[in-house]
Amino acid sequence: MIPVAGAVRLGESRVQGFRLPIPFILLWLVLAIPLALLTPFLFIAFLVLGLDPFESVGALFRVLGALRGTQVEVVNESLSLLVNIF
Amino acid sequence: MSESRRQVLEMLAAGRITAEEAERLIAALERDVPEVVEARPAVKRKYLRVMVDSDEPGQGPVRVNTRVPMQLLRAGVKLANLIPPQARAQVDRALHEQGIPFDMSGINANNLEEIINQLEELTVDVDVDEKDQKVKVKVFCE
Repeated sequence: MIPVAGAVRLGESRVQGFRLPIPFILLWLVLAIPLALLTPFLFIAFLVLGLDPFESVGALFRVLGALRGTQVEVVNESLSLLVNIF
Repeated sequence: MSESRRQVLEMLAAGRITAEEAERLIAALERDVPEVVEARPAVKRKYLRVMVDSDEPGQGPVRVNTRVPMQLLRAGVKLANLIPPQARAQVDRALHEQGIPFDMSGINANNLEEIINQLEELTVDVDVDEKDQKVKVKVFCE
């Protein structure tokens, strides 16, 4: 299942910054319509490139789905950044 | 009751051996029974962790902590397998030019699981402690 939410925390390193939730589900919903309209063109593009469109889309969704649980945290003297994907 | 123990008791019942002999035989059988070791289920590691702690002059202390799902490695390799052979050759060439002797075609669905299983056992600890630079890198699976 593709990630439905994420969170970003950006702030000063020694201060507990605020956490900004990112509802990916809204992004997917917004992208769904243009993607549906683009599907025939994407299908042709995949065929021109010699790729199996179903396999390619499946692989892409697998990568998106596998992103769940990813966490990146970078802290230096002044700033801290934390990205979480749920 | 084990088959050997039953045979000893049958021999005792038939009068072919005495009670003392039967006792000795049973004791010997008990000694020969191997210890039952509980097989622990293999722990499936879910994440690859990379932790870097560095303190370089001019940059100050920097800490990087990443957690990447192992599933992402699987999905990434499968996605990379979709790259057309011509493009793959170009990627290989570019990697070689950068001094990275890596062959993308070497990773396929057949050896992918083997690679990930090996990664699960992987632990890398790098500790650089020089007068103007301190870096600690830790890579492991959890």
